[in-house]
Amino acid sequence: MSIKSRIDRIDLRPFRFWFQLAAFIFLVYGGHLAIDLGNSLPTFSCGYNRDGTAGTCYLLPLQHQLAQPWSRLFSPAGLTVLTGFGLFILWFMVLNKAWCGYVCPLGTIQDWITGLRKRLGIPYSNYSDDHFNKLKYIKYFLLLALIFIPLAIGGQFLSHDWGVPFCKICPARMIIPAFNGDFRQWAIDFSNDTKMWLTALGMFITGLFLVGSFIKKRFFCFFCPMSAFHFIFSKLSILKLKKDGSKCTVCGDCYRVCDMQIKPIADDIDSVDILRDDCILCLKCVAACPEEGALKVDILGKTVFEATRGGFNKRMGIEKNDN
Amino acid sequence: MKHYLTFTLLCLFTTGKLFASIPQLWFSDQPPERSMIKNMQMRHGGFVHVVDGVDVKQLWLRQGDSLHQSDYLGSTTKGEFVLMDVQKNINAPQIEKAKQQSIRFPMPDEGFYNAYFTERLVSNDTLAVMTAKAEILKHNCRNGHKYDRNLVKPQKWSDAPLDIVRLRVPKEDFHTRIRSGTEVKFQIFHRGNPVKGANVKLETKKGWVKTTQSDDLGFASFQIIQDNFFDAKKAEKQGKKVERGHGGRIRIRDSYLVTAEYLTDETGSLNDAPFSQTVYRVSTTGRYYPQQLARKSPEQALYFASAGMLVMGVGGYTYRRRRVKPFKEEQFDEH
Amino acid sequence: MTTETKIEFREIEDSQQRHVRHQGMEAMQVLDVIEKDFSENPKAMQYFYDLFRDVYCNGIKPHPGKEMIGTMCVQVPDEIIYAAGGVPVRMCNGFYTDEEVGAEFMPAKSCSLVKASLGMLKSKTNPYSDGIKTIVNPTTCDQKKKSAGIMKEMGYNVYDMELPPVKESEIGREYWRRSVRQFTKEVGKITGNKVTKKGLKKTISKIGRAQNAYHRLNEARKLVPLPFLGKDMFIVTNAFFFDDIDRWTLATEKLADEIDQRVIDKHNTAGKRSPRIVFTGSPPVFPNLKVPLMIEQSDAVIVADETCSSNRLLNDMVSVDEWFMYDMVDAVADRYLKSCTCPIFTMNDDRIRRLIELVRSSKADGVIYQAFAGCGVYEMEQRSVAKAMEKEGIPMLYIETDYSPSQGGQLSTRIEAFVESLKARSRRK
Repeated sequence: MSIKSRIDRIDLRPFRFWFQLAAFIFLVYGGHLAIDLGNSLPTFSCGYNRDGTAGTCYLLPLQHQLAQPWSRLFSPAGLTVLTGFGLFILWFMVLNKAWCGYVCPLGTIQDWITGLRKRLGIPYSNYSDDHFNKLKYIKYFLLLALIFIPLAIGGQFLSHDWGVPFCKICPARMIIPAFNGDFRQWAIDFSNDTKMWLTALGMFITGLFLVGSFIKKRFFCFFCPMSAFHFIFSKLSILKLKKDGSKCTVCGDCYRVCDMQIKPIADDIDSVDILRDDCILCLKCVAACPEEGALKVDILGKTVFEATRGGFNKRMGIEKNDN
Repeated sequence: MKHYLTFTLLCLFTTGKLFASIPQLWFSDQPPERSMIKNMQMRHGGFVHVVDGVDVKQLWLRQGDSLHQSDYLGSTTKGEFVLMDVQKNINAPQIEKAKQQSIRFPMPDEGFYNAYFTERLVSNDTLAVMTAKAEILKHNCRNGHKYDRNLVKPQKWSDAPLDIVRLRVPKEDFHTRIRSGTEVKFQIFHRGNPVKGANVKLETKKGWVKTTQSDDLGFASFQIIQDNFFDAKKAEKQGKKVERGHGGRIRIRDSYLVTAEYLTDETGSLNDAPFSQTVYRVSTTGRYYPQQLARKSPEQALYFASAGMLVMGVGGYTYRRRRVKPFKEEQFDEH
Repeated sequence: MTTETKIEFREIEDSQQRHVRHQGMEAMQVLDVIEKDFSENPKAMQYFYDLFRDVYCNGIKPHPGKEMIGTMCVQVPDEIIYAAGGVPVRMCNGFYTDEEVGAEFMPAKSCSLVKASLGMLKSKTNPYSDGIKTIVNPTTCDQKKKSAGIMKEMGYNVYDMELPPVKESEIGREYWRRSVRQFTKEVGKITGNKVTKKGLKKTISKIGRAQNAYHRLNEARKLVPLPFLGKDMFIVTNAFFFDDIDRWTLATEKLADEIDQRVIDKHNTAGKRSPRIVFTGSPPVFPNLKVPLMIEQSDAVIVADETCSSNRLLNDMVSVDEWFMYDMVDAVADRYLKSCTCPIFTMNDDRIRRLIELVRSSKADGVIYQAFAGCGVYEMEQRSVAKAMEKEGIPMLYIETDYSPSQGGQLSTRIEAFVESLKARSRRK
């Protein structure tokens, strides 16, 4: 059996579990081994996890940089914003949104919570179509906020108390350092009203996160501004999720297993590049597709993993003497 | 508020004599004219100029009885400037010939730069060797946070007539702030060797003073006062003038000046003026901030987190209960 | 024996017995054609030929002692019936003999298949139909839908399974899921066995395995040279209607093994220039294999099909994310709705796409579209399919037919002419 067909028959679930675990340990504890991937990582490797983190989520430096005084931001010195951004794009290009499905520590934690729910035999919930279409804009709203609030600080329209607004409400700030025993972020900052409300909101969202990801698969990812940010540049990536609409029977198997409830993965038979803004590129859809070559993953135009009948049967445990 | 006034205001006249005789000399990174700040940028180590993408620090010499009553020294001041960079290389910094005496030096590497100014003069049969020291941090978050622990370590200049080194607090990194209630430890060296029995005085900008003597290994430690940081917002509302930093940020912090003095019976003459004893003095400044816990509440944070969990839990549960009902009626807007 | 004793005394047949005899004759005739008019039948096909003979000619009842549940259409989830300890048996019938009985319930210009199915349920001559008490009737086409009342009148316990008329919408999908969830509970009451997590997981993989065996055959027949004929495929998939699923799967896997060997040997069952045909439209149900047989007797081969008695029945697989009832039942529901290419839905672009894909992947030369006279939905969809095929440059023959044996000559002439034109077309290329 060729390597390619071996990969196509891979049991995705354990593969993802171990990959995510390794990535989690690397990013959350790698700092203790003096590993540093810089601070343009396109994933929630939280910078508040001071000693442990092996690299910092780009949203933290981005918000910092954008809060520079305009005189500096729009001067040659402001070019440093672009270098950080360039690095972010380079990192992003490697894995595309698989940063979310395979690397993101916060995503991994949500998958673990989902695992716990499964162990307890409690059903998951989904958003109704209607809610989905309304809620999906929140991540764009957050993305705009995390760009324009720092800009407003730099332009002296807002006080510095609004600094790094997204980090203040992001549950990763609370949860990821906690894995290093650091609970300093679990606090309301009473320095001033703005900080107090933002940190209180952050704590509230952390509470929503913990229960939400128990009820809904990948609860937070749906609102993640990083996800929206990724999507803007997803066309640049070397990794692509592709669909061959002619082979698709619109059976909806891919949509069924999708943690993010992305309907077009099944219903859209015209798009070749099928990656959508909510996608976390976990590839569960490819693994759940029984039609040969209907869904596939390309790296630099070369198919590395695609839907096959044999792979489907193996993963679903219905393979007997297939050859 | 419980630990209010753990600090005692003491003016020990026994050690206070010499301090009183010659005004203290120290380095400041605040320019004499506030308008100059406009062209400077704020970094973790204070204001810098940026020249060709490299941070350039400028320090001014000031002399006075306390932090808020000090004059900028003129350019005629005579003395020796020394700069020790991150790699412990000793250089002479660029001396600015302006109305006020200042030095400039580039800080290309991450870590601490130490600047010294030493002035010698004879007065009352005593040689006074007065050193101003500044320890300046160069750190930019863009360079990441995986700095070598060695970079955080304090450095001493072995040839310093008298050097005062702030030892690090546990787990200190480039972002660490000294907070009220923290035990800050200094070590005093005379030409690289620890000095026993030096008089060490810490004075805050607000005027709290404490003195002590260095022990066998040259250590002197102070607990930073639990100062009553004022509520800037409230003050502003009451029409008081509030110092605002860059970007309108209200600075909740204070500075301290720490001075060590050491007397020896060295004799000799300087510029034909004989002396029968020598006094060495060094001073450096630092900042401190309110205690974090005074302004943060983990307890209330847990309330909010619990509220979030409750909302989500109850919401999720009722949603599911409602779904058990087979149909959801469409509602019409009658208007 | 002497000539005097030549007179035989036959027992006087009652109508029931005559009906059984006619049915047996009808079945025998077709089986003989299938088995003997073609050379090179795969050896493993013998199981299926024998199965049909046993059931339709020798009156051997399948599934003794098991609760059989009749299903009227392809959308009834077999997985759930099996998980409840029942055996799903498809009520779609192909006997002309039964159609004549059924004609009394239906208007003259209605679908032969529905008439024959009702006829079978009325006469109860079919070896498996007389064990059936419950019939699950999804709300598909009007004629099937309205049969519910007639079947109830006949004394059957009819379960109306509500199927949405639109499959693209989220409302439709949720509607159908609710329908299937409800069915899962109800079917347990009918059989007396509650559908359990373990049981459903087992039957999902059981049917998955059966589908896998089918897919192996289906992939093999797309190849050139063609390893086996389309008529055998119809026999195999028709057997799935009523055969014991484990036996069926084993026999089909055995057949697939043989076919795989043929593929390796480059065995060709088609003629040198035989045009390759994709068959679509109203389902050929044994013994009404008239049109497929005519095609293959006219030196063409059926290399793929898009019918609810074959491809649509077994093509789409269940995919489960979490092996719990809440996920499995929904997964089963989706399998039967989302990818279904049944013409009863308002829009059916999926069917056209499937046809084009089948033509492409099996390198077919043309499409033959069968519609039963009176089968409104297939007749109506003919227009859009024909248009799409024309656009793609795929020749299509549209045949309107029924179960009556009288039509034969004219039909075969048309098919032969179409086959010839395909041959000429390929020569021109």
